[in-house]
Formats: sequence, C-alpha cells, structure tokens
Amino acid sequence: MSSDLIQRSIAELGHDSWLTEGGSKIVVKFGAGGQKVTLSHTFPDELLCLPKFDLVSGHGLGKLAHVLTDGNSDGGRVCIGDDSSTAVNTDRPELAYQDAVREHVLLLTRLIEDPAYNREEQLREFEDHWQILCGKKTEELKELFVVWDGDRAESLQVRHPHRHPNSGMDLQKRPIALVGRSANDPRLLSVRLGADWGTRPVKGKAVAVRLIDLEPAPATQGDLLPWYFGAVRRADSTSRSELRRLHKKKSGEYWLVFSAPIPDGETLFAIHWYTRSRGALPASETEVEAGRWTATPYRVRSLSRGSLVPRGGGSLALTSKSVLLVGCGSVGSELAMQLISAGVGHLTISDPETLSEENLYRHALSVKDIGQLKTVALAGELALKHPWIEVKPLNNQLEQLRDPAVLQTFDLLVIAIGSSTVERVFAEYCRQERISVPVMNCWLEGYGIGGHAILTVPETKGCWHCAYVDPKTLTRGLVSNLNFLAPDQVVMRNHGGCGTQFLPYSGIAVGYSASIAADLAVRFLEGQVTNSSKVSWKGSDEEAKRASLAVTRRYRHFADSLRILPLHDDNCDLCGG
Amino acid sequence: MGIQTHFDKFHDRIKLGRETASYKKARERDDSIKKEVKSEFKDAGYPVVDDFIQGSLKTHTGIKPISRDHDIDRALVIDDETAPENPVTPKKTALDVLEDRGFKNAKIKKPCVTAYYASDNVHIDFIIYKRSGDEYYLAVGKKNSDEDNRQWSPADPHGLIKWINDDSLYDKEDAKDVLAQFRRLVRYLKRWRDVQFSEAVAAKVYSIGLTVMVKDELVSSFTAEGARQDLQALIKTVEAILDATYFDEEEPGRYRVQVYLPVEPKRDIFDGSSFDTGTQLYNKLKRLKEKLVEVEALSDERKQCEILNELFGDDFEVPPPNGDSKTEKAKYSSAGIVTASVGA
Repeated sequence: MSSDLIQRSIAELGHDSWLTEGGSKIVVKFGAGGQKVTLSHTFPDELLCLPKFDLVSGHGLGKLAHVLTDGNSDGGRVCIGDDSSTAVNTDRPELAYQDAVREHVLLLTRLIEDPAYNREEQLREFEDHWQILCGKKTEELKELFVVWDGDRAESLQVRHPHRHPNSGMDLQKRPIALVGRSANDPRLLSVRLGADWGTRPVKGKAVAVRLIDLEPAPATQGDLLPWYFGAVRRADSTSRSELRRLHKKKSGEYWLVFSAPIPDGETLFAIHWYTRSRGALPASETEVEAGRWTATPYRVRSLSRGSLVPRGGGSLALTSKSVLLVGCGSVGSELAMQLISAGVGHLTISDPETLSEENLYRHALSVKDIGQLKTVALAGELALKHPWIEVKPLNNQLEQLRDPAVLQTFDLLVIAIGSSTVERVFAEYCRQERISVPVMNCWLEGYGIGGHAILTVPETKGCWHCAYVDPKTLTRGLVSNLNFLAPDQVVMRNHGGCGTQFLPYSGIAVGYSASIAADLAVRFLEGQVTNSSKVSWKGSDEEAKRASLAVTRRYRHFADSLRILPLHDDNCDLCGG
Repeated sequence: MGIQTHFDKFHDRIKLGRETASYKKARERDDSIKKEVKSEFKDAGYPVVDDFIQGSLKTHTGIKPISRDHDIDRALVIDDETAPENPVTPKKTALDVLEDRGFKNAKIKKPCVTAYYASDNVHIDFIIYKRSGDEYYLAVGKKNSDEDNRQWSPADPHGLIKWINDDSLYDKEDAKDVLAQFRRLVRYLKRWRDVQFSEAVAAKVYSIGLTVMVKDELVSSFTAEGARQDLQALIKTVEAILDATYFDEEEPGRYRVQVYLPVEPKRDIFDGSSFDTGTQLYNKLKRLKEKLVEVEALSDERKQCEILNELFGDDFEVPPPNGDSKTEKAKYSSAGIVTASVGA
C-alpha cells in the first residue's frame, strides 16, 4: 500500500491533502458550511476494512451524527458505513481511499449544512450515542435487560444482578426488569430460568415510560440531568400518571425505562436513580442535589417479543398463529424448531413415540432425552430456547386427532409422519367432514434424493389427492407423484431383522425437508401463499444409483427446487379438470 | 378428472391391436388365403421365403376403421434367384388365387394386389417383394403395365418399420413413454382424417404420410410428474407439421403436400397428389390446431369434449352433464400395496 499513491488519488478529488508523521498518516481538508474541515487517518498495516477518518476537533461544529466522540470534544471517528456490508478494493487501495474520502466529505457536508438532517440522524443513532454514555464495553458496562413491549406505560419489577452469576451468563450478571404481569408468564420461563429470577432480590422502584418525542442523546454525563428533565416532560399522559405515582413512593433507587420514537421505529433506554438515603424520585435538578441522587444511564437489552422476533428474523404477524404439528420425528422436530424461529407463537405438537438412541444423529433432541416422549422433550427444548412461545405437547397419533372441535382451533395443521396410508385416510376424513383448516403434509425420501411438502387450502384448487394421481394410470395412486425414487423398489435397509429396518437419509436431508416445509407454512401463515401448493427439493441421485435404485421421470426433469408450485393436478378425479 | 382421461378413453376405443376381435377374424381370412397363395407361388417356381405383416399393425399405429373395412398389409417375399423378371407375374399368380376363391373385386394395384371380403369387412393387400441378400425390391406394376411402367423397385419394408418404431432419439428413460405418445398421436390423426375428410379424399391422405410427419415433428408433452399430456403434444406436433416444409403453397391458398419416405426408395409418399388433397389437408390441420388450442383454454371438461367429439367423431365421448357421474368418476388405484421410499 503506497501512501504517496493514496495521497495523489485523494488530491485528484480537489481537496487539500498531505502526508505527515513520516507518511504514516494523511490529513485531508475540505470546505463545508463556510469553514474548513479537517480529517485525518492513520494508515493501517493492512487494509481489511473501509478506510475510516477522524474528524479533527476544534471546529466548533457542535454535535454531529455519525461522528463517534468521546463526549468531550466535537471531533471523533466518522462512520460512513458498516464494514460487513462493504467490499473494499484491496488490490487498488488508492481507489478505496478515494471513494472513502468522497463519502466522508459528502456525509459531513450534509450534516454540517443541514441541521434538520443532522438532528434526524442523531435520533436514528440514539442507541449508539446513549451507549457511549453507559461506559465502555467492559464488565462495568451499564446494561439492563428489559421485558417490556414499549407499547404502554406500566410498573416494572427489577431484580439485582445475581450474587454468584454463572460465568458468561449476561442474564445473571446484569439487572433485569420485567413488567409486573410477565413475572409469571409461562412464555417467559426461559428468561426466568436463565436469569435465575426467583433467587434475585428486588432492586428499587421501577416504571416504564413512553415519550412522545425525543431529543438527541446528551453528549456527556454533564448534560444528562437537564436532558432528563426535558425528556420526562415529553412523556405521554399515562406515563406521567405512572411517574406521579412513583414520585409518591420513597425509595433508595428508581429505574426509569423509556421508549421513544426515532426515525426507524423505536428506541429503549434507561436511567437508574440512586441515593444512600431514601427519598422521592427527584423532580428537578435542585431535588437531585438536595437528595444526593446520582443518575446513571443504562443501555437497555430488550427481551420483548416486539424486538426479539423481528431482530431474530421472525415475523411478528406469526406470533398470534396457532399450528398443530403431528409427527415429531427428525423432520417434525426440525420443523418445529423452524416454525418457532419464524415467529409462530402457539405450537401444539403431537407424537406418541419416545426418543431412542437410533434417532439421535438426525433428530433435534439430544442424548439426555432418550426414553422421553419426543413431544415433551421437544416442548421443553423449544420453551428453553425461545421466549414468548407457547408449546403444548400431545401424545396422539394422526388418526386419533380426527375431531373437528380440536382441528378447527388451529390456523394450520402440519403432518410430518411419513406415512402415506394414514395421511390418505386423514385427507379423506378432512374432505368428507369439510374440515376448513389448511393442512400441510411433508416427507422426505431416502438416499438424499429429495423431500416434499404439499399444502391443501380448502376451497382452493388442488387437494391431497392431486399429489397422488398416478402418472401412468391417472388414478388415485398409492404413492405420491412428487416422489423422486420410483415406487416398488427395495428401499429399506436392515441391520438385524424386521424390527431394525430403516430408511437411509441424513440430517442434511432432514434439514432441507424441514426448511421447504417451514417456508411453505410460513408463507401461507403470512398470507403470501393462498392456494393449495407444493414444493420439493432435489438432491443428488448418486447414493440411489449406488443402491441400484431407479428414479422417476419427475426427478430427471425437475428443475424447480424450492419453488412453490400449484398443487392442482388436472387428472385428479376429485378436483375435476 | 382431466382431459387426458377422455383422450385415453378415446384411444382405447379406436386402437386396433392384434387382440382386437374383428382384426382376429381378418387375420384368419388372411392366413387361409396366404397359405393358398404361398402354395401357388411354390408351384410356379418362386416359393415364398418369408412373409410378414407390415403397416400400422407392425408400428402399433392401427385404428379401427369407421365405415371401411379392416386393412391387413401382408408382405410376401420371394428369392431374387427364383423371381420372374416381370414383377407383375407373381402379382397375377396371387390375383388368380383370389379370383379362384370367388372374389371378383380382387385387383392388381401398382404396389400390391388387393382383395375385399365384404362379409367380414376385411381388406387384405398382398405386397410382393423379391429379396437379394439384405436388399428388397417391391413388385411395382398393374396387370397390363408395359415394361416402362413395371419394375422391381428398391424398397426397405423392415427399415421403415424400424424407423417408425425407433426410440433411440428420445431420452433413454423416457423413450417408452414418448414412443407410446407418438403412436397415440398418429392414431388420433388417422381417426381425425377419417372423420373430417370425405371417403375419397381420406383415402388419399395416406396413413404412412401422417405417420412420417408425426414421427419427424413430434413434440412430446408430459406433466412435471410424468403424466402424459396428449392434447398439448398434439397441438405442438400439428403446429410443427404446419411449420415444417411439407406444404408448398404453389398458388395463393393452394397447397401441394410432399412427404418423403425416410427409407428406400425415399420417394414422395404423396407423389401425384392433387392440389385439392394438399389444400384440404393443410387447411384442416390448421383448423384442427386452432380448435385444439381452444380446447386447451377451456376449463369445462364437457365443453372440451364437445369440441373434440366434433373433431374426432363419436368415439370421443362427451360425458354426461355435471353431477350425473360423480360416483363413477372416483378412480381408485388397482394396486394393493406399493412400496415407497418415504419418511419424516
């Protein structure tokens, strides 16, 4: 990396620039808002990310968005983008520097010349600025876990950090606040267990407050008090009532958790008030001084559903959906995990089988669950992993669930039992009884050749039988026409007699099969798929060839892996032409 | 139910195979006459060294005739060394046998000797070849043809059958299904010809001509799951035939049809065919395609069948109005147990 070459390429942009400190640093000057602005950059040993420049302090520019200050000056590192979303030309670093300087100048010029934009950007990055106030990223970092949706003001219960936290368990090392009604919510079992909530003492009085408007975060600790008293004046009416109630309760410490609007949504932050003596929550800077209160800003780590689900890639629209999953084998268990990950809020799982060691390598459950009912163990696993979900285990087989009163309570029924005979009987039951719940069947084939899912939405074109029309006879076939391995072949492997027969397929095949089924289910529940549909994934036929197995015509011609296709088959005698 | 089921039913009704009862009867006639002809040939000094059935029975493209009689193409092969120089000589021998059996309408046509059995609706063509090594020569000439109009003409009857039955051009795994679709399409077109053309013109729209065109231009069609789609295949194939070079518009709106045999003597099957035959065939194929496209766009099965019935005749049945056949529509599998490689 030649610093001379870089300097020349930056000079081409028309800005003053020069090398200093023996060529290890470059300084760039440009004009914005009627004054000269100076940037500096120390060359790294190796260019591995966006070249980042510092805004040199002393310009009197005030607080600028995207400039990470130490709070005591108006200079600091300028943020022009995220390293993970940019690709830098390391072969031609001079070009990377040219582009980087161009971006810095553009951004700073706009921030300096357009105060409204600067304010909006400061609000957008409120959380970052607030975090700077909360301390550096060390064990002393001031953070508070909060379970509050931010939708309305209410009282909170805050627990002290655990006296003997398990190492690495932030939930135990930090204070944690739950809204009062969540303290016994079964959907928060995982949070309470993880935090060891029951053994931790209550820590002061607490209230969650909604602000109708927000000012950019204070630049320094010294600015915090005036900023705070300005902020609480912008609390909504319910919040003000909650605060008034809090003012009447004496305590040695108070927690105020705030929710406030920012350009991209909402932000959460907290302030902790503490005094050695007891007193009312201070309502002015004078009261702060008189009561010897200290105010400490806390970063909020939200465990609310509204933030966890979308941040984790789930859909909030699914949190109210109720799904019945029948079959908790390898595909079913993986599918359950994926449906919950997608945001499905209520899952009932049904399977009468217990986990055996033979299931382990392709099953979501672990060795400690051997001998347990798969549903019970899986419900436990899911509840431990994900807050905000409700998982109910049943021990019924599919045929035992033929009860409209049960079935009609669900938004979707998912069948992952891998038995076309029972599925046929059930499909016929649903058809004759006019069960209005959409049903999805999913299965995989052995030897890694593929897997399939079909979705039957009542009153739309396409039914379960459409996936079973025999392509040769055009009659209701006994095996699915989606299958990739030709029927009537010896496909089971046998280790030691009839009872040990098994279909060879890997955990990878399970993952793919569960994924296409989960994707179809989620798209349906979100309203993106409204008609009866089918989807398949196609794997290699190498293993099948080694086992001398023949594939179907569909396999040979199939080029629509993962694509959701209409289920309807013209030759289905039930659906009509 | 799907339109393919109706095509299947139609195909079952028109298909002529070895097991078809009326055909069996024709074969019995054929066997008895053949025996006598072979005996006469032997006595005449040119014994029959081979005989075989050629034509649509051999290529699995035969259809039951509507009003005409059953057609059997019986090839008789004599050896080159014993064959008379005049190709009409053995044809006359065959004619004598037929006439002796009291069939006054038996006659020598240019490529064959033909006889009608009115009582059984059977029509047999004796096609006489001489064989030299692997080469075949067809006895061409009418009863009184002079030397210029008669000859032992190079022919390849086995090659033609082999060409029609060849499936090596199709994907190996799909070949059987594609070949079966080809055969069904030929049968559909032959029945369409019999329904749409007058008897006189239909007789000039040669089956072998239709067969060669379909073979050359076949566009097979199957669903992703592998179910046959004869309607779509027929549309695309007819479209391809119309787009190919078979029809020459020699005058505005007047077409000459030319289809060359793919084997020796590689002659134009429609040689000497009139403008009228070519024009009618072109126009009717065009209309067929348009009507089939119309059928494809319809969702009402009954309406689809009504159009197809008009195109292919009454063997393409129109189902009763909706509701009348609900129970009989259930199409259960005839298999008891089928193994499949599935799990979850």
